This record gives sequence, structure tokens and C-alpha cells, in this order.
Amino acid sequence: MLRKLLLPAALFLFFAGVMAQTLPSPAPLRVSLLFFENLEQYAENSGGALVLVTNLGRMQCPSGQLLEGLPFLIQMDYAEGRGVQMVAENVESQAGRMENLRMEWDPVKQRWVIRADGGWMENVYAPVYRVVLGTLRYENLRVVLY
Amino acid sequence: MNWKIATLGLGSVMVLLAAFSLSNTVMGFTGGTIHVSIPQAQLQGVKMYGGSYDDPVPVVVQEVDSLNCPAGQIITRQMTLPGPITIKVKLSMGKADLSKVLMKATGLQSTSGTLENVDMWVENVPEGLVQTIKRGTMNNLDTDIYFVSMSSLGYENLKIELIY
Repeated sequence: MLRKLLLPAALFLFFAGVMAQTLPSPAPLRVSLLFFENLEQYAENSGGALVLVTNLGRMQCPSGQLLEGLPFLIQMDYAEGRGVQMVAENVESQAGRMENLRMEWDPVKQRWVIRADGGWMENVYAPVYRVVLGTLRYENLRVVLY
Repeated sequence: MNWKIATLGLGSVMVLLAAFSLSNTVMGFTGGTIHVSIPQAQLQGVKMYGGSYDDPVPVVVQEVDSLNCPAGQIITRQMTLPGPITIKVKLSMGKADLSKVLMKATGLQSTSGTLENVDMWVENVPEGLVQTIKRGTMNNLDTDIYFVSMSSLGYENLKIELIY
């Protein structure tokens, strides 16, 4: 009886393991100061993992940003972007301020969404899986192998 | 100075560049890096990711569909000739248009610029961080490359100098 139960369970685990998609290790993104407009944040399931999606209508990083992907890192002394989307494992910030912050049910996305009209965040750390920018303006860009 | 030999030498370089351009390969260098300096680079269809050159040297691979340099570009390469004499070969162009470019670089730097439709995502190594850019302008672009190849190169005012 036990053998009859164990065999299907083992087969299920084997095929579940084969079918499961694992996300690659995220790239740490560090921003010392981030000004933003029209923030939208929600959780999503991506490849079997729960990720945090952050949309920003506009962002400005006056002290630059650092993205440590493998095998190279991307560093900028100043960055300004529009139409930004960041898919991250999580987002951390030491301090900040958000204006007109609300959490509301989005009938289209069918989930709870955090929205803010503007604000700033200090010492942002986010291990990111994907970053999309409509436009990016930068100063002193460096792509360095490490 | 023997003008006949000098003219013949320069003519040979031009013929070789034209021949390589027609055969889809303009330059292929091995050993050390080549420094490329572009005052203004107008790019279209860029893909950047991690890779290796002459395994296991890690590099930043850049594929560019179209690269226009309205203010030209300067390519320098230091090499040692028997003697030994260390010289620097400098190729400068007043204007350059390149297509289907593949570069394997140690890194790159640019003082300012604007990029459109940037998409960055992580893949497993060796690609690692993959970046695509639809179009953009990069000012004062400097890069050290191990390898470069391109489908075509159009230029104006090419000058090749040997600096001792």
C-alpha cells in the first residue's frame, strides 16, 4: 500500500521539478537618492516566484545609480528616466516620503495596488530581475567587468 | 622619404579595408585591447550581455545594428615590433557609419547620453545582465575592445598614423 502511494508521489515530485522554472539570481540595484512621480507597486507571479513590480512615470537619481549584474556592473553619476518598470525580488529604502499614497483595488489588474503621486526614497536597494525604461538620460556612464 | 613606397603602402591599406568591408569582416584583432574613442555615437538596435573572448577572458559583448559617428572616431592600438620598438597605431576618421557591429570589450564609459526603450534583465551566466536599447546617443564614448567585426564601414577623412 505504501509503495503504491510513494511511487505516484515520487513521480509527481520528479515532474514538478522538471517543469518548475527557476528565476536567475537577481542583480542588486542601489540608488542613494531617488525622486519619483506616479509610483505604482504590486505583487505578481513570475515563473513560479513572487515578484514586486514597481512602475514609475518619471524618476530622477541625482546621485546616480549602480546596477551590479554579472559579469559586469553599470554605474551612472546621474540618471533620469521616464516610463520605468522594475521587477524585483523586494525593495528596501532607508528613508523617504510619499505624497498622496493610497492602496486601492485595481479592477483591470485584479489585485491590490499601491499608488503615490510623487516623493523621494533614500538608499534604495532592490535585487532586480528586469528593468525597463522608455527613455534614460545619464551622465558619466560606466560599464565595468568585475 | 620614398613617396612611391609610402603611396603604395597607403593604397594597400585602403584596398584591404575595402576588400574586408566587402567580405563582411573589417577588422579582427587578437592579443591585448584596442582603444576606441567616439565623441558622439548615435546607436540603433543595441544588445549588450556578458560573454567570453578567447575563453576564459570575460567580456562585455555589444551587438549594434547601426552606429553613426558624425564627429568621427579614433582607434588606437599599442604594439611592439621586433627591435623591440613600441609604437602606437592611430586610425582617425572625420565621420564614420558602421553597420552590424559586434564588439567584445573590457568595459565602456560615456560622459552623457540619452537612451530610448531600454530593457535590462538577468539571465544565467555567461550572459548575466542582458540589456537592449532601441536607439540612443552616447557622448564621449570610450571603450577598450578585444575584438570587433562589422558588416560595413563607411568613412570620411581616414588618417592612419604611427606614433613612436
